[in-house]
Amino acid sequence: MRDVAETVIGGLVVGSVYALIALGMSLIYSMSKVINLSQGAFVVLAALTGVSVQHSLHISGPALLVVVAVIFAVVLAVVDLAVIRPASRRASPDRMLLITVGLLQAVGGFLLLRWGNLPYTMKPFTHTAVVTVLGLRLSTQFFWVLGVLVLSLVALWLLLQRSSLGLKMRATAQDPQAASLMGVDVDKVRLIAFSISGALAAVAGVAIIPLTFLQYDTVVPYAVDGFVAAVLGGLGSSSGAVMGGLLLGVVQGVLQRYTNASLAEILAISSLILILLLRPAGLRGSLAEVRR
Amino acid sequence: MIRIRRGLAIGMAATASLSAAACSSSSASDGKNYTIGVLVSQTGSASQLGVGELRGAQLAAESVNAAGGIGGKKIVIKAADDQSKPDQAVEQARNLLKDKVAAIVGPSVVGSCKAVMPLVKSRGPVNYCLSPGIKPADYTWSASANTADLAQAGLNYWKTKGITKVGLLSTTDGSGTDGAAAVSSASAKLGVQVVSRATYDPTAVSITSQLQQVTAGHPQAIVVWATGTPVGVALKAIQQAGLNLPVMTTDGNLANAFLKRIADYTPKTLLIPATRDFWWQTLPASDPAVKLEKDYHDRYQTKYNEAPDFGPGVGYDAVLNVAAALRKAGSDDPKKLRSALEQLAGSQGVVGTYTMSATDHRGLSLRDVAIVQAQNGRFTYVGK
Repeated sequence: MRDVAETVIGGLVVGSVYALIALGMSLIYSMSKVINLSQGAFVVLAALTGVSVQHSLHISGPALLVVVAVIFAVVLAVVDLAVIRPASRRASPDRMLLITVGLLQAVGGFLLLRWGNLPYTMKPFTHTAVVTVLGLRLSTQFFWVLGVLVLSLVALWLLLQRSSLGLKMRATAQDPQAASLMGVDVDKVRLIAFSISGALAAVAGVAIIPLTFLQYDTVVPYAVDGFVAAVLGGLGSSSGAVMGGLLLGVVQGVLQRYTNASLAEILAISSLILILLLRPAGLRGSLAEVRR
Repeated sequence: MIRIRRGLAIGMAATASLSAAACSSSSASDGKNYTIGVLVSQTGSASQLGVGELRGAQLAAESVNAAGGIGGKKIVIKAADDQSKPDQAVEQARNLLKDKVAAIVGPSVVGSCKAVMPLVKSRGPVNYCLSPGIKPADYTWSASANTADLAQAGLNYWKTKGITKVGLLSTTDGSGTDGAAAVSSASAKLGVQVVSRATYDPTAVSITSQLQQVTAGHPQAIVVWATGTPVGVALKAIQQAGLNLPVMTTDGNLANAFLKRIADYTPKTLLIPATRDFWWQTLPASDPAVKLEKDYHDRYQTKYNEAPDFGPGVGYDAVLNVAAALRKAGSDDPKKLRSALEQLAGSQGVVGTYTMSATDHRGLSLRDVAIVQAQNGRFTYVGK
């Protein structure tokens, strides 16, 4: 029982990162209909930026989360202004997908140039690295990762549901043309969505790196798993993104615990296909999005 | 139409430049010197190995040349970078073949070595792959000790310490699969039991579940058969799980940079089966290898201001062995050179003592392997 509980908690932690990636992808997709496959790459870029910032400033974990979130809110805003916005005026959605794949490769290349091919990690935010809760031996960083997901969700919910900016964002998501006619600056709203997705990637990367080692080639698994989580949850749905991410993390964890890694990978993707056959729009998406 | 014309123009320009390149390439082994192509990963993911391998190869060439060369001819190193990509390895190998090099030393990793092997399979020249992970044949050689010997040395050491139940964590790539098979085979031979095993993707960022699978078998020690980052991920998971078991990993992790990277997460006992360049100081002063080892380590330390790790040793020995074969063959004719290299017997290198044959294109054995422990940023000999 203890073994199963530890496996599920480990899966939830990994799934939290997928959820944060899927959340960023879904936010951008709902505002601009661009599937940003490079979202996972920015998680690794943010994590390694966090390591460098920590090395120079020696600040606490929470402070580092804020600093890197601000940096990546700006970085993704620049990406929107310099790449996505000009490209989306000329390119169709399928071409935009290729452009975001290009961004993914570019981020991987930049990581290799700037940080080399060595793996990077960071010490846990809390001095006591491991605690025992109800007989379960858990890393304190688990709580930081889960906490970051919960805080991000609450902040996003408050922004979308309780602010005038959120109203504009929801209007843009529903019908950008109508929103524009009502005086909403759609480009600005999309820019803000990119900034928020940058901040989400940043907190995911900085929170997870103390639990693992990351380097330039870990951008692809994050990009793939984040995308799978977003599709599983239903592209465009925030609650779906979170459900998809957590479910994928737990399914991967349980399958890896009781089978071998290659079989676990096949079974995880097979279960995704099965879910999409039963629910083509994903767990929380709308069929209109699928047919669009 | 404009697009077609532009395409034609580009095509013509490319053809012209290719023709120019072909005309300018003459035999690199020009009668005065022997040119050895060193095709390693100077950039990209395997550069951690490749940079050291090139340094080792250059050091060996300097050593041979300083001693008068080979029958009055000097060794010239022609370096090529495969950027850690098999397709680039093939491209660069083709260039070296055009340049008629006497031998190709490299590439650095299994995938690139396997990509280059067909180019030299029937007519040569000798290709000295620096990865231990291939099965060498025809004109191809492989550096360092083979996986079976490394696994056997590791498990045998543990057996002498009373450890007979081990857990096995390995990656799903070629190196991990080969290693897992070698551990299984060695365990059967030695009477050591693999009580639990789990695999993980080399790019996995968390292996908590797999570690639980391994610890469920209550092993006395854990083998992590992986190289580089995946080992770091495993060591971190072991630390987070609060496990205090001895861990063994592969010789691909005998890198100073990697040791620094995992300094905070190194288990109390982290063992690695290693070739002689990591434990030569334990040899008696009368051993014929000591002078060569001391000279190599001192010169490397002086030139690069660091101790050599895995890469420089294999690069050094590959050039040294090719030089010995050139001396014996008296020419760089591929057939003669292959035959001479196959006849190398008791030849001292820094990695070990080589005895080759037509069926053994590696030349090292279990006697060239001992166990070192990663401790305080260094590799320390602990036994055989």
